[in-house]
Amino acid sequence: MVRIEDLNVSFGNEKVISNLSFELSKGEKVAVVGTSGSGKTTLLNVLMGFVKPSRGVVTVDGVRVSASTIDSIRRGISWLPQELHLKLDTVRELLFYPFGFKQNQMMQPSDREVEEMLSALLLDNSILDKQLCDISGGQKQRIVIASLILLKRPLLLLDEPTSALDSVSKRAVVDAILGLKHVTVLASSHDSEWNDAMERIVDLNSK
Amino acid sequence: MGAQDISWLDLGLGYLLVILPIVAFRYFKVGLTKDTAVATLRMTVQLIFVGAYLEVIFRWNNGWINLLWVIAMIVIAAFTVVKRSELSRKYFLVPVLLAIATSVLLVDAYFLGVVIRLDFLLDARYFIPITGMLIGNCLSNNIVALNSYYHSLSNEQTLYRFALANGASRNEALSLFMRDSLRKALNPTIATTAVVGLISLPGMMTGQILGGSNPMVAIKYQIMIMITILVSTMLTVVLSILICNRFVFDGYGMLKKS
Repeated sequence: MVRIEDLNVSFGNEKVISNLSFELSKGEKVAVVGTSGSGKTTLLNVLMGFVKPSRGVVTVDGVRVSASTIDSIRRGISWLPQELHLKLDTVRELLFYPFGFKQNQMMQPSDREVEEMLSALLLDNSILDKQLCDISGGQKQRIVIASLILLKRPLLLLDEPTSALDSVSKRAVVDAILGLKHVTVLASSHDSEWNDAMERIVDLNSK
Repeated sequence: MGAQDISWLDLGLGYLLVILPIVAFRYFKVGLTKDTAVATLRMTVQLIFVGAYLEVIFRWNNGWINLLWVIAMIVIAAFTVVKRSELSRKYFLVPVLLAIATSVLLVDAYFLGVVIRLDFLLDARYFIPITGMLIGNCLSNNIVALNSYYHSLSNEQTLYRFALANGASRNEALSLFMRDSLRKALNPTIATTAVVGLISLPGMMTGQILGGSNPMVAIKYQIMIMITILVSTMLTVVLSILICNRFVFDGYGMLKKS
């Protein structure tokens, strides 16, 4: 599904990732670990085409990430950033935000799918009518994760998905992610509970 | 009947008014005393120069020279917009220049050719002051628009990337920022249009009335000027952003580093 070969990324003179190689099989759930500044977020950004490697090859589903392929590659990926401040009012708007884009309009989830997804993440359906300013950071994080899961993309990139979660809701998110049999997940995290739950760990510090 | 002339001596008396802000700035230690003096001096020199130049241009009334004068105004405006917006001249100058030229000349052609129906479209008496007014108004709005658009794009990269990563086309992802900057740039123009005549008497109308025009004629011109300013400002802002977008993003949809 994802192949990273001899990846090197530098910002100016600062080398962020050196000689990184690994592969992700279809459906695999992998945690990327490492100390702050070890390049976890950068790695996800390279996969999304937000950061260009100084050397190395990155392929997604056999297609090399490049300017000419990036649009079609992005169509198969969902990405959760570390922090997100969308200028929206209600929780419903946040959940359905990606479905407003032309490309996703056919993917609109049914009411039942939404309810089941929210319930799996320990959220009540009534939360949809609340104002975003009235919910906690953890609830907001789970809403965005729910939204991305409902998009049903084959590759899910998560940047610190549990940063605002307590251990109960963290467990719920882990279970929901592990339950996505056909979805490949690459998640950067500092959270040992999350990392232990994943099927494999890629340690950027061991490079 | 024209406006009553102001003798040079009387003009000098008028300058005495500038003493008031200068005294106030010194008293409150605002630090703008020198800037005010320089600005007043620059304004005087520029206007005297332009007045002398326009007198010659109006006398010649040659279409090519008039056009050249307007092109010079557009080029200076484009340089000013890019500089004041703190953007890279390399990527932004040509797009901004194209945007201002296209929108201002289009609106000019409609106003002078279709509404006023001038026999000579490039008539210096109409073409130069009206284009000048349009450019002057587009200038500040365009600075606000480009500044807000590109600075929020670069400060709120995550928002743009989130949209791009989760299904938005590049235009959809950019439209969030475009909407915001259009609001910021055009709101003041719309507000001014809404209150004109109530809390402000526009310069052009006042000038025409002082020059001896019938107030009704002055008002009709003012109405058209307000409409053309609104339209050309909107066109300039939208075109500037759309044309710039073609040059300032790399193949991955990321803003080029300047």
